[in-house]
Amino acid sequence: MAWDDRAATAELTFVPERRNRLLAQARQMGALWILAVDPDERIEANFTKRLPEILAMGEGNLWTFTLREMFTADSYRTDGIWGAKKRIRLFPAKAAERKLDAALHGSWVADPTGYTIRDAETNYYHLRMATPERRRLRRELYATADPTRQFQALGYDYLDDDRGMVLEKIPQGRDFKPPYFEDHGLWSPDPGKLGAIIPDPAEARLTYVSKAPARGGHAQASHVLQDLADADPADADLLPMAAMLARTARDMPRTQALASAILDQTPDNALALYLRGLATGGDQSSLADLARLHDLVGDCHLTRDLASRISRDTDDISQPTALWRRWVPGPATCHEGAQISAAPMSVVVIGYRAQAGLAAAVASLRAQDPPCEIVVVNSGGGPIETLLADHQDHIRLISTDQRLFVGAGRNIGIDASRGKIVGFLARDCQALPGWVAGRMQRHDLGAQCVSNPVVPEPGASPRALAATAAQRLSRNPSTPPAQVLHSGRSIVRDTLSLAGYYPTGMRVSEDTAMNRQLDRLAACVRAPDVHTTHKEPTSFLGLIRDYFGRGFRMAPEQPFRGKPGNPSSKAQSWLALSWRNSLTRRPFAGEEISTSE
Amino acid sequence: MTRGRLAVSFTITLAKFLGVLRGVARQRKADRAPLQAQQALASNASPASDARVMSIGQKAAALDPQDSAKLLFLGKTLVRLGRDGTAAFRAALALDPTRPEPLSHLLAPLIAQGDWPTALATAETAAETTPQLAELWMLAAEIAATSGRKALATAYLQRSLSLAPHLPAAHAKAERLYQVLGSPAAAARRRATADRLQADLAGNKVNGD
Repeated sequence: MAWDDRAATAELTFVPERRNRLLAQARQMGALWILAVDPDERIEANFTKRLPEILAMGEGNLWTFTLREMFTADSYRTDGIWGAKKRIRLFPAKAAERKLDAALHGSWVADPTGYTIRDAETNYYHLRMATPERRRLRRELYATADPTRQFQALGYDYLDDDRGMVLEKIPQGRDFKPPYFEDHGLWSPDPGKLGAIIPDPAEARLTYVSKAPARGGHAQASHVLQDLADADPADADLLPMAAMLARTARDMPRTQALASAILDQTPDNALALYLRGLATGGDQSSLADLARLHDLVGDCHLTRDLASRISRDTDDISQPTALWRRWVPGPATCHEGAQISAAPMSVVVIGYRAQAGLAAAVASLRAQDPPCEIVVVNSGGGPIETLLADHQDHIRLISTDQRLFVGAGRNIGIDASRGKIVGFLARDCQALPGWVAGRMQRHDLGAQCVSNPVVPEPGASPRALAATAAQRLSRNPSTPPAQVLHSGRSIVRDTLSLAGYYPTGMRVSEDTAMNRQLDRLAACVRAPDVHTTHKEPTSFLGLIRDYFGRGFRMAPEQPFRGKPGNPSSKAQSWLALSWRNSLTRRPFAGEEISTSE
Repeated sequence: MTRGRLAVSFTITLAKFLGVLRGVARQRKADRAPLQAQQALASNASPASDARVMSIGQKAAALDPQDSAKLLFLGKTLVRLGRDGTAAFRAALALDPTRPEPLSHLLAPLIAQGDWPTALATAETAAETTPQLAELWMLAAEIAATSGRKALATAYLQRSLSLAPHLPAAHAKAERLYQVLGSPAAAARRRATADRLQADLAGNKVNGD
């Protein structure tokens, strides 16, 4: 069913009225389900294959689709809020009984109360933005239709702002039909006929700046702040804020330029000195900025951080004042092997009480080509020197008798390594050949985070094979991209510093907490050919004991820990575990936690 | 899925489920602590009830040591009874570094003693651990400002604002800090922005497409 308004005389007609009439007609024709698509939208072609399964899940569900705003004929924008748009587009007809009344940007379902909103894991492509001219017209149209920005607090200027843009080609197998073609202006009225085209006020721009970084839109947010600073040069806070966001976007030339501009006006701006020092990383001018910064603010985070970045390659990591010691509440030793690899990637191996698997984990890393810097962090004591005697010359070994959780171990490794990329390996895991090379390949192409699947050990028993397959459902090499859990990450050190450090008190899921921070900064790239093996218990009793313990340790985490006043039920816990272990089919993505390897 | 794999899946799911159940049962028991503590305090505000409240807090933290809220409760109880809550607040922060409340409690005695270097170092470490959280940089800025480190306070303030440029409260806090730092013009700018953002919020605008 379609709406034909070619005979309309008004420049704009009321959207809710059109939608209400279409919905009423659909119900009158006996429709049970409604798929709502505008003329300038396309749903990915293979959706029809999945539709029966979606409908079979019942009329209690509303289905969201991922909105892909096309910026060219075959690619869509993914930075910032562009990568986070989802809309309800498939719903049972009974869900649309209440009349729509939002004049602009409203949903097709006025009241979703009583329905479960599910993700159909399907793209729909919006062609309205596919050329610069279309984007300009769309912004102007909304700017005139909504002059006070009542219907969109973050304004409309961003629709026509390509700065910091990141585009992604439509992935293979997710294309749409019919293809995009230019329709010679039929698609938009003349905004000038509707009223004056007013740019967004500063409040709307600041609202946009707060939203854009949610998914790595720091570059554009920085540009917007610079615009505001240019419009109001007397506000001395705006340009440093822009520079900080440029640094978060890892645009170092722009960070340097902005910081220099700030220092030209206010030579005593400590944030600008710090940022310019970071941007020029290690050359003579950064040393001069560090010295000036030290004179200005003395010993503090800014000076310590800048100094450690400048001298990371040459710092004596074993000295009593080394940075990593802050994560150990008691004494700790550091053994520096004579033949440690100076490599772009460092791998931190986390051990506890010198358990036996540690030596195999280290051996698997030493066998990598290209080599990596290996840092072993062992807590809880144990005969670690004996265990790693064969590897001592090739590793940095940090050991403490104190018991530390994995987060603290990871943080020690981050501070006690030199590589520009940091990876992690647990004591009961091994890196298969290509583990470092495969990751480096992705990082060299610009990936900030690289995740990988977990596979059974070579020669594992059928029981171990089944356990790995079941436990690592979201981390199998064949897991569909939409259901992948991005764990086991290697991370660019600079991005890691923007995300912070791992929580040191969490017994499990410290990586999930960190990954949440990382996902705000950069998308994670999966390397399906990079394999980590995980050692499963060999006996049946051992398997049961191991997984009972895992369950017990998972209990404090979501989704098992209920929200205050709304505790999780036993059924919810069972369902969550069943999904993880492939007992129940998990057809569409939801929130899932990970535990450390 | 083969029958064998299904059997293993079922076994490990069941084992995990039992583990989760055991953990959740301990949590539920621990979750009753705040209510029990309130009852103990309401029934009799005596040293005996204070001791009982502390015992309840310790028991809750021991039963559910991975819940920062219970550690925070324990810390507050210890402080209320005139004892040192630092370890409990530190543990709460280590579990959830994104919550500023344990940090505020950790800083309070340091600020009261005028131990600015330690207070600043504590606030800086928290902000460095979770650098995308505006509140933590603002806390560090406040301490730097109070201890007379103007350039450092301004740097942390600006970093904090870059993370929450849309919040009237952030600009209002910055205004107060600039007043402390003796920068009335900068304070006026922040006040004006806070007022404009507040007025904008009052307009009940929606976040549409």
